[in-house]
Amino acid sequence: MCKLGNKENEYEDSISYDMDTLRFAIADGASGSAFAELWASSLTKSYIESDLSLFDDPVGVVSAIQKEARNRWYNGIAWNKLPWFLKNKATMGSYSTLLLMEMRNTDDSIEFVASAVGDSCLFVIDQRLRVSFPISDHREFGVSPKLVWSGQGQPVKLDVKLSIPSVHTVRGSVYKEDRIILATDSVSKWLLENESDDPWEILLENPQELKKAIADLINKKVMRNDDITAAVITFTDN
Amino acid sequence: MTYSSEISRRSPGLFIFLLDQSRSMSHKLGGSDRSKALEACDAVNRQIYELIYRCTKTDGVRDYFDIGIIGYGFQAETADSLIKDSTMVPISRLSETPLRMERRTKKMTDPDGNEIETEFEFPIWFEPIANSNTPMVRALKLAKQWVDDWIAEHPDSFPPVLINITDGAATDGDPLDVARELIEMGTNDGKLLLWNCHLSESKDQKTLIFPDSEGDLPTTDKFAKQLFEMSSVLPEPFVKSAEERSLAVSENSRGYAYNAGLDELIELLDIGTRTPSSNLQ
Repeated sequence: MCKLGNKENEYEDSISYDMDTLRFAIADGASGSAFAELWASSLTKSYIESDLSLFDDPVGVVSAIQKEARNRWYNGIAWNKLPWFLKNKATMGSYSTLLLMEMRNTDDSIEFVASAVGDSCLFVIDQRLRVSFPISDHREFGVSPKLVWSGQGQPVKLDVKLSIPSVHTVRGSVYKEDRIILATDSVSKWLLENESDDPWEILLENPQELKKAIADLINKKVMRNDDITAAVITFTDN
Repeated sequence: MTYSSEISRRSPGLFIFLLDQSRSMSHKLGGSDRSKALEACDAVNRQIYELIYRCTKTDGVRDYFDIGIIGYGFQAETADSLIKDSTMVPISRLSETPLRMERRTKKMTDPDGNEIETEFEFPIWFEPIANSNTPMVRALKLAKQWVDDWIAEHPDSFPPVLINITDGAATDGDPLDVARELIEMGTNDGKLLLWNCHLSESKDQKTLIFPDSEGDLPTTDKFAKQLFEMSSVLPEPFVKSAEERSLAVSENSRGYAYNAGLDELIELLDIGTRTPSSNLQ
């Protein structure tokens, strides 16, 4: 959902997934840059549509995704039709966090690998919070998270070598009783701040009423007003 | 806590620039080959450009700020808005109405690490004028009228920031009274900020930026002291911004540059406009 007070088309996060390949991606476009929503969605879609596996090379996948996403971003902007103010800003590139996750079945559990740049988070919950990645302390959320950069727009050419962002990786196992949450920073910070009160139950209780529940938390100033993206993954016997 | 209001389209901020256009502004600015009028005009154009840049999103320029520009001295005893047919306008309006565009160049480092020089379009809203006397009292009174109206409509917004750029004493009376009235105005988020930048013709004179004591100013220059008294004390967020730039400031520092050259003019404008921008939501 978009930040309270903003229009729906001003949402700058992105989430993509493929249940067949058990791949998930979430990105939080930085609002200080133009075309952040295009960059965020280019990143998540590039991962889901690629055949690269985090199990093979978790850092290399992020680098490859960044390159493919640059193609989508660069070609998705009608550079010659932009008004001067938008062209001058878009030329400096767009920024986004990125969290990728991939799972695969083994005999007695499900293995996962996740790679992250910035403060979009992965949580694994059994009876308690078992995994909190890449941030485990709510005080670590700041205003300047690490970001993936699109590189510059025109007049800089499309085919350039991009600086490799600082990628964190985690590997582990999950079980069918576990619940997994992928979330951008506002929800993630709230989850960690209220860990002892099992806040994830609010996300799991009633998906139809989730937007209202989040809006209530924002209005009570318990959660920061921002674009909100959260995905909850549970397992069934099928 | 003051000076903490979120700046958003529902709760915009306000900048008013007051620009001295008296005849003496045609003289060269200390440390520059160009006139005070040209450098001041260019600096205000650049600040508006920077503010528009910060407000630009994919869907266009969002109205996080209202902007007013008052010129004084372009005609004898006259102060008026430099925005055609308007007083204060939402910032998106300025993005649509530059007077003309200039091709400028800037250096960029491409992702391969190569430094490249690229051209970009830079908008010009105001041209330099240096024509008559210095009716600063009129300009401040006009700003007060505007601020009165604006505060009534935005009682909870970040307080207005007024930046006055001048090179000499008022020729239409004592501006201290109206300046004091302005400084006492404000919103529920804090008092209005009136900053003054005094431009110098000599690069050899002592320059002061954000002085915290009248004692630092030359005793022989009555105008220096008057502008100090006309300037707001820096609130904490602005003190922090100045400290981050390694400027010597204290809790008593005033929003004031005396005998400013181009560097001090840009520094003062940048701290004055960038600090509220950190409240952008």
